[in-house]
Amino acid sequence: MSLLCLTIPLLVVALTLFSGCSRQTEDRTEDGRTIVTLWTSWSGIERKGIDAVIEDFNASQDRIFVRALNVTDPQTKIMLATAGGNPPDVAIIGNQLIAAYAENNALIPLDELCRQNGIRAEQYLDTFWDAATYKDHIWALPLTCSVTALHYNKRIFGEAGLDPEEPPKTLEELERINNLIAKRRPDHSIECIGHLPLEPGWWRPEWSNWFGHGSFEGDDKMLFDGPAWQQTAAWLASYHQRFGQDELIKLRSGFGRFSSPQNPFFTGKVAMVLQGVWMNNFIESYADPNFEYGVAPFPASESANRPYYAIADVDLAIIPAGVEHREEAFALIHYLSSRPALEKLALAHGKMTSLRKVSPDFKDRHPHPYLQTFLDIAASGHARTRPQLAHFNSYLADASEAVNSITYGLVSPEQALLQLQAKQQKELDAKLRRWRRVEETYQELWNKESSSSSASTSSSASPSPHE
Amino acid sequence: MTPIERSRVAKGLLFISPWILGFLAFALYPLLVTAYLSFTDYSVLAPPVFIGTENYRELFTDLDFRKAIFNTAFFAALSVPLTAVMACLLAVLLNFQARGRSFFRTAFFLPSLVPMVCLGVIWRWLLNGEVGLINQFLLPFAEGINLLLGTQLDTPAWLEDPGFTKIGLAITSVWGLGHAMVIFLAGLQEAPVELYEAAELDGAGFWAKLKSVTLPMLSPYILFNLIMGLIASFQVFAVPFVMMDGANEPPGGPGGSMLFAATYIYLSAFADWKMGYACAMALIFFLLVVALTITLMKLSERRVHYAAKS
Repeated sequence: MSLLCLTIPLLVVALTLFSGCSRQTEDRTEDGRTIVTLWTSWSGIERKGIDAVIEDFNASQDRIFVRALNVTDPQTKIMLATAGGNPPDVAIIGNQLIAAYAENNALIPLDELCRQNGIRAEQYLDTFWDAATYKDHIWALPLTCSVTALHYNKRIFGEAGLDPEEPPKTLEELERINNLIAKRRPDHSIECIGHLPLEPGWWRPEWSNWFGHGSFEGDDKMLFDGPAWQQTAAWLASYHQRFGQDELIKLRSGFGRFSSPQNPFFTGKVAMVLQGVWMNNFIESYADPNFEYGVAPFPASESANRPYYAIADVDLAIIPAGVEHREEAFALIHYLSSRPALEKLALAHGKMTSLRKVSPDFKDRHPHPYLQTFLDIAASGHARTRPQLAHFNSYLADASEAVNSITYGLVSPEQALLQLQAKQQKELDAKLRRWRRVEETYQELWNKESSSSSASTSSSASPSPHE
Repeated sequence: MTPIERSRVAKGLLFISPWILGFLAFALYPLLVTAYLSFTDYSVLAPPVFIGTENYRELFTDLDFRKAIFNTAFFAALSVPLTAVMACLLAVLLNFQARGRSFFRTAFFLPSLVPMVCLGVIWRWLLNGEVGLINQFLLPFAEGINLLLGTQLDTPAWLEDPGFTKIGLAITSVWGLGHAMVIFLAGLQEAPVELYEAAELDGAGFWAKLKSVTLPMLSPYILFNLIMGLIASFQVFAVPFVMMDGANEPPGGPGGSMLFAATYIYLSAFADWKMGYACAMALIFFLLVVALTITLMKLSERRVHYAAKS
């Protein structure tokens, strides 16, 4: 009796605990529609944008009901959920991690589904379509996208005696303007600066592109010891030489958060920043109503073989491996990538669409005053996505750290690049070794998956054409 | 064993079975799996592949791993003595028969109840180089010294200057001294009044009593707090991670100065998806903490005075 008294409560506790590990069973609405879960990292205004598109989709459907969830740090959560066998049906992620997900067999290849539904590479701008493909397979459908450009404070340009309509044409000219604009207080600390490569610092590993070459070449070579990076490092080091280590550290410690009125670009602490097309949304939300800014391509160095460079980023809709409602998931991403839905989302987010053609009134309806500049940059061939690396996160962390240290003068450029190159080449080699071990198995699996999905019919969402 | 004894053992085991189950499932099993995974290439998403000692060989040449060990040891060397001394002093002060004693005891204990993430966010603002309260407080002193000596002293950029990040974090860690303080207080109240009376008869003052009575009687508590502090500082993660999150820095902080053991293990496992490598690191740190704890116990054997033994 006494044993039973103890055992029963223990069993109840154990069952309650383990029930948390079980798969969600509720996958139908009351009216019998299949529930498709969608994970995005969008919140605030951006969440409202995707919600409106999802509402349209749900209203058009009698078979599928989409439940959108806002998750922070979706990359880690998708990884863990997929590993645990309970992934969302669809997720929207940045393009940087496609290689890592694909090499770990965490996604469903979409080749066959795309073919059946008439989705073709020609419908998209090359840069963005390429970002969705890896190792000869299609892993995602490109949605909204953006490119970066130079954003400059017109008032500060005017005060320094410069023409506010004449942004710099080369990186060297940008630095001359930087020196002209930089102001010091009586105690020698910096009050404002023209440009700082660490603000906002989201693309620190990409600076060498402005000197003619990226950080990765071919399939197996990191280029941190190449000539482009040596020039980049000399340029970065010129900051502490010109402005002083302590002064730069002190200046940066006073920068407010990005999405706040204390953003250093809005407060005039930094006059020129590298930012994306979304910046206008934040300027309208947080900057002074009288804040005047201009946009131009971010100029490359005179020594580079290009007039300017831009980083292209794209939001990709993926279907994680192991989802139950594959067909319904594809119907959703097919709808999201259709022109009307995608343009609605792009207008809400202040971004662009990755499709080659846009509706005639898209530009008129778009809130961005400089949209044309961004569209021109995107179509110029000088806008590229960040490298597809299976070790992207460590690439980003290590290179960002090196860029910081060189800019502040905490290490010599030579030493920093040497260490960075050694570490990053080792990381890449390890991923290549790993890939060689699994390549055959995975390719076979993916080819089989592609052919098995051909059994499913084309989606019933009947979205509008992509063209 | 007689049937009665056997039944007693069975009952005893039954009563501690939740703990045994918990230990097996949540401590021993993960430890064994960690040991196994440390010999594999494991990305979590794909099944682990056995690669022998490759992870360990790589660790020995990994500069970031060395940095993480150095940072962790440096932080432990700063924060453990600082926290222990402060907690001990506070306990001695709060042991006086003064008015409002319970109020002060509660007040000094309260900060250690603040969740780690809140602590990180609060101290991110307190330590802000330009508008932070710590620098607002230090500024008049720096200016005074500059005026007197003609120096160029400036308040530090706690979260951006690699030379100050760990000192800032050590200051933060003092906030969590409440638990150590309570343990010291308990120790102080254990000390027999006769010893103090005898010391007073011998003409001992406050300092002499502190040195010859209080500290020897507290020695087991000091040892306990040192070991717990050491283990806690080897696990430091949430506060620096949250602090750096707002500073728009790589997670390892400026110049990698905030890359601690746990931070590096976390980043390897969940940002770089190198779970096998992270497991190898975790195991090395586990062995390091065990070795340090044993060394500390051995070294202190002669200096720690257990009242019950005498």
